[in-house]
Amino acid sequence: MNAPESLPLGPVGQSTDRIDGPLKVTGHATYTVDHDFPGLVHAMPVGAKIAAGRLVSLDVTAARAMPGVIEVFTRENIGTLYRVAKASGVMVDERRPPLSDDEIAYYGQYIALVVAESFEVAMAAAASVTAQYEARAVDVSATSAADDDMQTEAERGDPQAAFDAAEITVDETYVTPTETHNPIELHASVAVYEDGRFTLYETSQAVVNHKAALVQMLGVAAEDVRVVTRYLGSGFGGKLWPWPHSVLAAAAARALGRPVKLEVTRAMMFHNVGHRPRTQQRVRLSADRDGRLTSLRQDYVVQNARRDEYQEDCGEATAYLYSTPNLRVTWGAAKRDVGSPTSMRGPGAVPGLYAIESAMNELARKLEIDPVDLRLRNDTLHNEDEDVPFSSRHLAECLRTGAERFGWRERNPAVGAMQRDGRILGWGMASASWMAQRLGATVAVTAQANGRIRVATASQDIGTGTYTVLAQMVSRVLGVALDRIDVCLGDTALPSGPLSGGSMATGSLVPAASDAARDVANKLIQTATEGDDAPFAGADPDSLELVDGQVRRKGQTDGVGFMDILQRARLSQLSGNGRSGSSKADPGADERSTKSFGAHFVEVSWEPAIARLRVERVVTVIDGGQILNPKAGRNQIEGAVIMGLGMALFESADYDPETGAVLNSNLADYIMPVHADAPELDVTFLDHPDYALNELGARGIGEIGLAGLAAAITDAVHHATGVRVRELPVTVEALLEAPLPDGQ
Amino acid sequence: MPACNVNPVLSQALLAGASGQLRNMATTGGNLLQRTRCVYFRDTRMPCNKREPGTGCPAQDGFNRNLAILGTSDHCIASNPSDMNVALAALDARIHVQGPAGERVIAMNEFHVQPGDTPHQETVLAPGDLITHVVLPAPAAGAGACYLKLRDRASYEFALASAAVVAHVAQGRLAQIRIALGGVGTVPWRARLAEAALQGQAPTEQALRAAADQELAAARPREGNRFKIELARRCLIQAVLRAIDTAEKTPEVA
Repeated sequence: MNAPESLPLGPVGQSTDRIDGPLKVTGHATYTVDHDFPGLVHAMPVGAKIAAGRLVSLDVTAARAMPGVIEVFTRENIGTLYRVAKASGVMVDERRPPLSDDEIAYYGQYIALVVAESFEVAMAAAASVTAQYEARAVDVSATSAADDDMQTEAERGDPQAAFDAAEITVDETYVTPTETHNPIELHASVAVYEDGRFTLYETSQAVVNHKAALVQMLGVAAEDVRVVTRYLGSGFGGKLWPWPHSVLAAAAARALGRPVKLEVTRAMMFHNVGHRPRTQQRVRLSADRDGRLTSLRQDYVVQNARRDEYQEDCGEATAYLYSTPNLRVTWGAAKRDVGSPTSMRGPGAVPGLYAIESAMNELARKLEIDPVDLRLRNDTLHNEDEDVPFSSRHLAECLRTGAERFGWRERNPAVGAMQRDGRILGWGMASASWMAQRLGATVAVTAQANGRIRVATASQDIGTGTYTVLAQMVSRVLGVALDRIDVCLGDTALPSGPLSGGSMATGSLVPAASDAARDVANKLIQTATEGDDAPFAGADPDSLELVDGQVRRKGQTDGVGFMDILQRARLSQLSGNGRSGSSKADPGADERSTKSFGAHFVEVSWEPAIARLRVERVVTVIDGGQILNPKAGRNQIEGAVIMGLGMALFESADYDPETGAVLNSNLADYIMPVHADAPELDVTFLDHPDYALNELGARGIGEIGLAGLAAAITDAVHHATGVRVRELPVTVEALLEAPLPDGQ
Repeated sequence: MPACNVNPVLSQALLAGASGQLRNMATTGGNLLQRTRCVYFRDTRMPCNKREPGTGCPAQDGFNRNLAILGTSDHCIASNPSDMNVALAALDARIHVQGPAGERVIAMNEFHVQPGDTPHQETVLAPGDLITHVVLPAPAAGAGACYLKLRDRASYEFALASAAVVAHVAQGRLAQIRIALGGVGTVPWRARLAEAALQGQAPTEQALRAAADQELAAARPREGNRFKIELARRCLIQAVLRAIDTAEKTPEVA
């Protein structure tokens, strides 16, 4: 597609410091728990100590007797909390409202809420609550046969026949464990109830949806709930939809008439606010001698909660990534006594591509074809699943550019054959892909008589740079410098904006922000022509333009600043509005497929004498359309690569088979990479604009940096050690199976 | 002369421990008394014989990959998590304690007690005791030292296995060898069997392997920490080799 207009990119595409950076590094950014109010009290939930069964009785006597305890809420006195209607389209992963019955479906499920004058008293009182249960046998087992018949998600040709007829096949099962999001910022709610209206300060990646859900759960009118998330200490998908603590805080604030602050504990982060579920994926590939895929099958089972319906779509990228005439993807769920899973960075595609790309690497080894070459031989510019062309696909260029930057041609494919400084090196690679889509958005851009521009939308900045890229988008149209633009986000009192998830926020905001800026530009031009004092009184608006924040006659260099125009007209401000819909409703939307692509190249080092494996360097190339702020974009991809390193080597939430509790529910025992684990990172953006979604050609980035990386790492591990790990994470236990050189 | 030059094994162990923030706040006495990282001990919702005697030890068949394989009992397999303690064990540190009956000196290797059937008793300290200071004997002139810590990630993590070694080689033989293991014992584990096997021997790979095997023969692993036998073996061997390597390069100090 061609660029729809010729306006230059201006500040868009330039590496730009975060406009909210100084606030954050000086501690002035108000995160959710930073909100404080006179009379504020502290709430702490009490979690069940069984994972399956029924709550028989609660003893809250000791808690109530503690000095400083204001109230203990249970099912008896919390009042009615309603369900969120599926038909409303409002999202929530745990549908049962908290404290609404006596059934216990997962360990740590809230059974009471203590409210006290101080956080310390709330903690102590919560710990003093005891409960009697009728426990059922717990099942948190890993064995993942689907509960019901497998459902077909994608299908073409006859993969069974092609597989049976093929000379070269791969048939392996890959497992990813339960992973938890664990952003630094804990989930929290600060609920204020005043004059019948709620103001809820939340840790949310989607304040608009959060409000809609809380309106239903609290049973109040839409205009009586406002949700605010000014800054988020990251979410990674865990903060997309409301979790039960949020409505508990709001209900407590309403009942007590005092502001309530509820910050969940780190242990609760492992039980009560979602996780990426365990997946088990059988992948079957067949190919001809030239490495062309003759069939691809993926049959995956995802763990799920008893009561909920979240689906980890491991087939997200499977059906379109490579060309093959025969394909089938099926899936099923295995319900266990665990909390509801939820989206975690790159949901579905990340575990899915770990399996698919691992199988591709195993196929390459069987074929004795270079794994980069294998991908190139199966590349396609046509989405064979939907039978439409990709709007813009440059996977081949990602692969070639990455191989070049990495030095892939020096690779000796024999296991253990490469060494440096006495360490064995392992090299591995994988492709990456992630969806691209535009959500509906509205943005208001206001020119103010004080000389500043205000940009407002309810969308939130989850730490990725939305404040900054919105300022860049508006600056491009109005020509006003970034330091004269104020961006207001994360508040349902502002024009409705999209969620921050799926790497969709930035691309979704482009049309609405650009249109709003153009709208205010036109209104400024009109104002400059109207009235006796107007600088261009009587001029035809079509003969004027707005450039560098000034209205001028087309082709001339002298103009009048928007501040002067407003002041002369005695206007405090002038607003423009922009609105755009979902890309699914765009003309021609069903005639193209918009996806992002990428490639990772990984080097690990291996010291068998001490069984030490380290990731030394990662080269990543991303085809994500036009990158609006390469500095923020690189930060996104680098962070995702580190997260992928954790997925490959460290992360696993381990359930206790006796109680169903997550045993390593703290940041010492749930292992994640630390700075010392960070490899040398090299990120390249191809910057091919894709105008299918917006006029800037931006698709969106973030999650794609995680997709595929674990497969690249496990292949590098195999290259170094000879150990093929098909169940993540790669542990020292598995690596100790590698042979010791020289009879050590 | 700063302590770190005299006792590199201690400074290496301290640097390998915890995070910069924790190191700045921690004390020597506190580190001597550091409690285990066993998740059942840490999580007060769980049974634990160490925390609540008689409630049981779910770690035996539960989440135990970071727990002990040496000095365990049916009542407790909690590992001592300290890095510093391992170095102090290899250095034959002496703990000075002020108690109601006056001052006494406790040898480092008698300070911690194995769990037996009283896992709640972790040291020989009695109520009213206060650790006042720790004295380190000067190492033999020309001795080399190494603290080697093996763990999943590169920093901010407790040892899966570690080894503190002080070694002095004379005429190609180990004139003095002291080895302590971390991450694998219920107490900082002085590897006396390995030391005895190596004393006076040439430090060949074969001798080192035999010594490590001898020390680890008594290991009583559980399902989740069986790998620690092999990991500790490699750790011990490499730590001795590295200690010897530094001994040859370090000029003799007075």
